[in-house]
Formats: sequence, structure tokens, C-alpha cells
Amino acid sequence: MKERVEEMLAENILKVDLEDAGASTGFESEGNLLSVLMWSRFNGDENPKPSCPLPSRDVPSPPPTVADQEMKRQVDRRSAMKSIAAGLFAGFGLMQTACNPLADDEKSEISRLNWEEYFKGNFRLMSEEEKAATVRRIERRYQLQNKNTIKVSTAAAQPGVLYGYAFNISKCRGYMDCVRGCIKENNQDRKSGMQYIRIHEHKKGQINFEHAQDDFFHEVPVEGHFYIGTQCFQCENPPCVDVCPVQATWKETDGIVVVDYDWCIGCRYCEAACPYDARRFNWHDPVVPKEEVNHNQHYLGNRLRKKGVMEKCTFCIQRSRQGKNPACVEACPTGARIFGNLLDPDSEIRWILKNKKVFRLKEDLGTEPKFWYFMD
Amino acid sequence: MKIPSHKIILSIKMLILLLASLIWAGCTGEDEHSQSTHHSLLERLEHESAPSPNTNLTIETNMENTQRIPVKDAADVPQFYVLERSSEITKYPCTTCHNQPLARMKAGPKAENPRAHWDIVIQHANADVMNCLTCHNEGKIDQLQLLTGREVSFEHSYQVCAQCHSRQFQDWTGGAHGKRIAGWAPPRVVNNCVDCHNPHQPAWEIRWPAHVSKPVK
Repeated sequence: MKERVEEMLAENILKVDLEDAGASTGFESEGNLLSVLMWSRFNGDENPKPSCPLPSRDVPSPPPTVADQEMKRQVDRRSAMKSIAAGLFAGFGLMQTACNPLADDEKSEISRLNWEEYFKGNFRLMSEEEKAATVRRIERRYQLQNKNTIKVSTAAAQPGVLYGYAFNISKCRGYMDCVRGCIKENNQDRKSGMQYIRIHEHKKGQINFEHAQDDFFHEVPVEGHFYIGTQCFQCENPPCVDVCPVQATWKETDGIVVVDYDWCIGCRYCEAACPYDARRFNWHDPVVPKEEVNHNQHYLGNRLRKKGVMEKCTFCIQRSRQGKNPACVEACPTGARIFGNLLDPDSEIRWILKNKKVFRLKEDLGTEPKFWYFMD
Repeated sequence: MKIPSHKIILSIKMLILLLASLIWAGCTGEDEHSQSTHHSLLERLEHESAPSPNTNLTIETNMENTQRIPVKDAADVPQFYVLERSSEITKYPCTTCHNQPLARMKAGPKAENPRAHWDIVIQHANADVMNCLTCHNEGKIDQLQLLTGREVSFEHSYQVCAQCHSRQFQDWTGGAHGKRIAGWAPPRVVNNCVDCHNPHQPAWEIRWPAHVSKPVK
């Protein structure tokens, strides 16, 4: 290091650079002082000019300079902290400008949006104005970064609605169209192959998830096998919600268990608490090809996630709150998936509960999943 | 032995504090569970259900211009709908070609009467039970027919299917069989039988899955 600096000094490069840096930043006095100090340190000069501010026993101390006075000035703790913070802030800003020589308005706007996003609150505590503001920021940021628009909804739960789901085991043939539809609809990470739905291939004569195959790839259905799909069951008593230490996940009044991706700290307690393997964690920054991003998004649903947060099936909240069926229901070609309003006595789901022999998984846990299985 | 009065006051104060904290804890506990005053989900459904439609949501906006037709013969369930079908059939009305009795068309030279429907192979029940005219009406070829000879329009073709598949028909009217169109919100519009099943070959195919799952470790 020392040799390199000396070489540079010999070529008169470092000095010029340092002076330039001092002049261009607008912090001339600090810049010059810094360059002088660095000069003496790197140069290894016994008697630097101007002298080192530290007094030495052998060398008689020279008359105090401006730098000397500055260094010896007494400051109280508060103003010291203040100036350190200001220095850090300025330094950070300088570094950013230095690292992005092409920094323009768009980049600074993105930085500002990120900064403001960082300090927003939990979704449940936001006022309508705050919700509108964060939606505006998210949409604007996407527009700046991708030159494309998204629509993020914060539509609230409708009164008189409680979502329920039924799955016809006799009808499922393992086609996996639901999984495909779900991944596309919910902007799931393509890199890690994340999927909310699992289709389990069981041998006929038993229902044992330990022995089921859920990564099959052969023509389906296979003789002597049947298929069961699992996903988040939107439990009425969700254990995942109880264990969250920061209340980043909760049950909405229409029964959907949601996650505030910007409040989640990624501790994965909920993943451990869920008896149904319904929750997924983003180990990496999710990768979704730009042309495949679903632009119809919901704040608590399929908006783009980030590394280190949990996500899960929300019965496609962005669709279901518009009266549509979840993407899996829509994609299923066999009609094995039925979705509806449990509080509507005329709904299909209520007809099934009344007329079919239904069961739920691990009913003895008391989690009360709103997801029933039945057979023809 | 005499207990100093300030000690008595202190102990009373402590007791009040203890009671207050107990009451407070009890109240907050109740608050937490106030949402679920029912013992089970089904109990909640029983108590909170309101006559349909109990929501402002509707699928009308998702339906665009598709025309829906009320389903007949479904007395036990609320009114539901199927989609209009005649306009969706590519070679309808059938009388465009079938302008003379079937026997005469079959007898004529092939050059003048190129074979239509060559791609249709019936794989539905067996030949002793079904042929074309089990469902199609020879006299009025633009219509279907029931076993009794009653005419049925293509919109209501489910009536033809229901003659044999009565169990599936019952599930279809209730909602356990078939597939809903446009969304869960009212009104209820469903696929007709033939929207999913090819009536000439109603069985489902064996095919490759649409997606491969990564193994779960």
C-alpha cells in the first residue's frame, strides 16, 4: 500500500486527485484538511507540513494552526452526535453520488420512494390517506424501474362475506393446471420454483401424506392412484397468526389470512406453526420475468415481494374481492375446485356442506380450516 | 400484638391493585375472543348467514356481453344460468346442409354430398344403447331430443344428459359438479355439460401435467 501511494505521489497523481475531490465536493476546508492528514500519514514524513496535530515529546510543537484549533475544540456529547450524524449523512450522499455517476432525477426519485416506504406503518394501522400514499409510491416505483404500470388495490373485505373452498377428490386428475395458474396470477418466484399449491399423488387405499408423491412428472392420472391438492386453508383459528411476533399476519373479516410483506421480519415462526405446510419463505429476491408480471395486484395479495419475507395463498384476494374466482378455480379444467361465500345460504359451497360427506385435514387440531374435501 | 395502621392500608392497597389487574386481564382476554363467540365454524355460519344475495359484489361486470339463459328443471335449488349456445356452434343452424331427409343424403353420390362430420366418432356408452339419433332429432335436426321424443334446444342440452346421468345432474344443479363462470358472486352462471365434456367422447384424456413441481425437501 505504502509503495503504491509513494508511486502515485511520485507521479503527482494522488495529490491532484485529493485536491480535486476536496474542491468538487464543496467541503473545501474539510477536504483540504483530510488531504493534508492523509498526505502525512501515507508519506511517512517525520515532520509533516503542516505539522501533525498530536503533540510530540521530541519535536517542539509548532504554533497552533487552524486545523489544530479545530481538532482541540471542546464539544459536548449532543453536538458531537449531531455532527457525526450530519457527517455520516453527507458522506452517504456523497458516496451515492460518487457510485452513480449517471444519477439522474429518476434514480433520486426511486431513492426517495424507497426511503419513504421504509418508514411506513403496519397496514392495519394506516389511515386511508396513508394507504393511498403507499400505493402511489409502489406504483410509481414500479413505473420508474420497469417503464410499465401496475395497479395495486387496497380493497377491503366486504361485509356479509366469508370465503370457503371445497375440493372434489373424485374429480382431480393431477393435471396441475391450478398450480400453473396460481404461479402466474400471484407473481411467484420462478427461480426457486415456489408454488402455494401442492398436488399429492396417493396410492388408492390410503391417505398418507408421508407416502404421497408431490413432484411427479408423468402422464396423469396414473392407474390405481388419486390426487389431493393442498394449499393455505385460511383457518378460522389460524395458529400462524398467533405466533407472529410483530403482527405482520392476520385474519381479515372475510376469513382470508394475509401477510403485510413490508412488516414481516422473516422469522418464519408462522411457517413452523402451520400444520398444513401452507406458508412459503423468500430465500432470494423473487424473480418474475417482466413480461409475465400480473399487473392487477393487491397490497395484501400478489404484489411483488422481496427477499426475506413470508408469503402464502390468499384465495387470490385481488380477484376474490372483485367477485371473481381464485386463479386455481378458474384454471381447473375438471371442476374439482369450488369457491364461494359461506355466509350465503344459496352458494354452491353451502350446498356441498349440506349434501356431501365432507372432511377437513387434521380437524382434531381445532384450527377450523375453511377448506373441505369431498367425493362424488 | 398491634399491627401498625400504615401496614394495613398498604396491604389493602396491594389487594386493590391485584384485583384491578385481574379484572383488566379478564377484560382484555374477552376482547381477544369477542370475534369468535361461536364454538365452531358451522355454528357461526348458521348464525351469521343472511338471505342471498347478501353482498354488493356481482359478476355482471365480468360477464361482458355474454347472454345467459335460466336453467329449467332445477326446482330444489335457487335459479341459475347457462350460457347461450346456438350462436357458438360453428355450423348452426344444421338445416343449412340437412335440407333433406337423412336417408336420402346418405344414399346420394359422395361427390355431390361430401361427407361431413367425418371427425366424429362416438365413444359414449355402446352401440346398442346409443347412436346419433338418441340425442339428435331426425325430424327437426336443429334441435335435440329426449328418449320420449320431446324436443330440446341446444341451450338446454343438459336435459338430454340428465336422462342417464341423474346423479351428476343433481350435483351439477347443486354446485358439486361442473364449473362456475365469471366468479363466485351472484348471479350463478355455470358451464353446460358440453362446455367441458365432448358429448361424442365424454371421457377425460390422460395427458402430461401443466407444471412440474420441484421436489420438497
